[in-house]
Amino acid sequence: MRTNQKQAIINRALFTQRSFDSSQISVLSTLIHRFEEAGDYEVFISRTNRTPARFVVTVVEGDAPYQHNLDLSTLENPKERDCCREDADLRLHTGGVLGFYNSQGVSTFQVRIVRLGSKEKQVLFNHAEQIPAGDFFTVTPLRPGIYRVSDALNKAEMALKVMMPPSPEQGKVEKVTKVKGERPPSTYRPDQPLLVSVGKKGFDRREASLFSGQTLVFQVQSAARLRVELEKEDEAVTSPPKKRPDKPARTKKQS
Amino acid sequence: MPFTDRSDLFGAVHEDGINRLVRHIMRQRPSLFNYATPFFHNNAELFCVKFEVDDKVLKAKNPLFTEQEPLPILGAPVPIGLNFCLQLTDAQLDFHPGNVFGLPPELGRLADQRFALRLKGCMGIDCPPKELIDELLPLIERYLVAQQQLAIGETKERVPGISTHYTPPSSAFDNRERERPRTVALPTRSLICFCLELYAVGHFEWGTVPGSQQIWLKTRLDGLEIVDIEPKDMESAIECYLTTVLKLGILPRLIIPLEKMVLDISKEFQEMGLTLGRTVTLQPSAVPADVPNNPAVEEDQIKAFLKLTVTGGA
Amino acid sequence: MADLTVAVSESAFQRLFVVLRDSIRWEAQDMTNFGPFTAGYHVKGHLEGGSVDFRADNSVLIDELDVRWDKFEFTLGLDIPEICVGGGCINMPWPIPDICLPRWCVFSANPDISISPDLAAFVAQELSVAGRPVVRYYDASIPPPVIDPCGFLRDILVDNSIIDPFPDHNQWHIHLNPDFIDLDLFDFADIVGNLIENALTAAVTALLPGGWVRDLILAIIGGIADFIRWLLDIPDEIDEWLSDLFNISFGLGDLLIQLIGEFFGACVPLIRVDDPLEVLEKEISTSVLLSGSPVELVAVTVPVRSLSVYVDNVEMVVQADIGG
Repeated sequence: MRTNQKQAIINRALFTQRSFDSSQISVLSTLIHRFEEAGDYEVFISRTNRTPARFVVTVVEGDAPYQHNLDLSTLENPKERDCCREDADLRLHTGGVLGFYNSQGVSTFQVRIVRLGSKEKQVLFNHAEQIPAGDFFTVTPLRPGIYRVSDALNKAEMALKVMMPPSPEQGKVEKVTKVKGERPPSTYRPDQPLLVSVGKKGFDRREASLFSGQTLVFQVQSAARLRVELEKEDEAVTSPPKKRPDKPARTKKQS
Repeated sequence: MPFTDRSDLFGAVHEDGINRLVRHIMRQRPSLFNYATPFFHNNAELFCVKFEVDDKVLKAKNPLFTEQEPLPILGAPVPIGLNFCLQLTDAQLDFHPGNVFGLPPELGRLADQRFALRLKGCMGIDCPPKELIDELLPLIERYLVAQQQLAIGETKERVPGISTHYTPPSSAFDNRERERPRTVALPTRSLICFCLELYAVGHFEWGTVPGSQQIWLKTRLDGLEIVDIEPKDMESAIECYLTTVLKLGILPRLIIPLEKMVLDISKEFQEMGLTLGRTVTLQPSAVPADVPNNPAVEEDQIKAFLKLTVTGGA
Repeated sequence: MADLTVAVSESAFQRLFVVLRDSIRWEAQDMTNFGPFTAGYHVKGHLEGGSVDFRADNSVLIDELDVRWDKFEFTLGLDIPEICVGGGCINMPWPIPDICLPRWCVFSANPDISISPDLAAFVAQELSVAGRPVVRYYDASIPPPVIDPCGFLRDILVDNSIIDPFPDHNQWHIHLNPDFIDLDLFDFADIVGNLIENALTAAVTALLPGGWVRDLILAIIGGIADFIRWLLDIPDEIDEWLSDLFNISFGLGDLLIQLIGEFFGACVPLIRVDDPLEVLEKEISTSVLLSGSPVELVAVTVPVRSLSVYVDNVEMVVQADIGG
């Protein structure tokens, strides 16, 4: 019997990420900035030792989308960009958001937004310094364990427990009528985020729990600088797999 | 009773079918049954017996007869001869019991397992008219005298020779070529034709042919009779000549390989594109173990009994 | 009485049948794209066993012929969809639209897997055919009908060198018109389903690194078995799905039945007899002319009339007359 598979490259960076910092956008984290006022804005995306990428965002009251998610790892390659040719505007509705994230690799990015039109360039937002109120910062931790969440500006902390999701039923499927085309029911869904608020009084809870792969969304109500660090890994899960015991020999007559 | 009660395969041809087959062969291969000098190519109307020829023979411009050298005029100082034709017509076969035609008393009753053949042979020989003889005779005499070829020997008088279209060129006598000069036929206006009826009795037997791997059905001649020739010795001589012609000239051409007697199974499968992994052969059923006669000539048919043998393969 | 009679005994036919049966081998392959997966087969087979019976009602029965597969390779290719973490949306109070979150996918490119188990050991069918000999006259001068289903099949068989094309001269054709053709459907046992499921599981598992990462990915996709079923859009039993695939989607059984039926039936004659039939081949003779020049003498042919065939308990008889 032959089995063959196309070259499948694992996105290794996802599984090695242990800490997240709101001043740097890495894999599994997202910065979501809300544009409250109409106008033209210039966005600078910087990366260590690289020339910043830049583009213009036009925020309007009229017909424009409310959200764009930008994969920062594609910005340097014009062919891969899902937005923004050098001279093209990115249009956004007033109150809309730009989401900045990195889909792969170990690079980190920083975002700076400048409002255009005034005599002096007014730096609206420099996320290396802080996340302004009204914005969001998300992390999607994969490594199971206990994480420490801290806000340096508001001097707040909370605990985040990340658990391995329950393993699905193995072996024969129960003989129940299934509707063709439907995914089988599962107790775990990675696309169910958890919303946590952070403000002057700190986090709205002392601890939170997630399954690995789910997203924790920090709703910033006053400027914050957030950090999430893996303090204690779940050893039982992440330790190297034990060597499989040899198959027992066929039973022989014992003398 | 089933056809195959004593064999795997059975094939039979009725005498009516054979006689129709022979008529087809006579029409499509006339050169087997008509022998004549080249003169007849342009004078087919002088044949003793008119014969039918299939259109495809004419289209293919096949010869209607097998060419023969003219009958030589013995003693003539130059190679001259007479046109002639020999035709075999009205061929018929009769299988035991005989009911297609009657046999002459000399051949008796048609015995078991025997077949009878009736052939009409007609021969036409040119008879030069007196005027032509009278025209040629002085030329021949002069030639003989000029060439000193008289029976009496040499003469003192030297007579100059002449050339006629009957005189072969001197190069024809050139020893370097060492070819016998072709016989030139005298002009023909009409033939004297005569026909003789010939009856023959024979039987079939299976045999081999040197160099061939397969079994062949052969026709063997038991007796031959020409009706009413005088004197009897001449009849005998001619019968002998014809017997020889049949045995050595005609009948060997008619031997048929085994597979032609029945449906050629191997060839059929090959034509269907099926490559058999085994060798499928047809062998005559054994005599007398399987059948009393093989082939059997009875009930107005010739019957063949065959065994199917499968050999080789996995 | 007929001019020509040829008879074949039942026992000779049985021996010939064995040779024919052993010569028949076939090979077929096909691949179909069903969307999320591709499926195909590459099969080779032959025949074994069976018996031939001449019956008093002018029919021939070929019974319990075993269809054996030398190769029954089933190829299944799955396009593994994205396996991602994150995603979902943040519910915002009206009138603010929800904010949707990006996803991070485990593989940089959607991988494919493909398995090709050979199921030959698990597939076997039985074939029975009963037919009657029928004689038809092929007139080469008549053009084929506008709609010629037989022509299409014959073209396939000719192109694949299974039969020779019909000639440009007339022929008598003897067909075995099937009264029925009974071929077992493809019926795959449970063990086949397990075999395929295990192969797919192994192929998917091989894509994944070990340890907790694998456990996480398995949790995301909800288990390989269910995942595979979801991808293939199949009910519980994979072997039932496989049977339907071969019987209905591929129609392999129908293809075999059609080939057998048409082979023996109206479209492809079992035996062909030329009309006129050549009894003496054309020959080049150098003895017809005195000069010795070669002359190509035409072949001698005889017309064949009234060809008939019948079968009784012990033999098959073909009879014909020679035309004038």
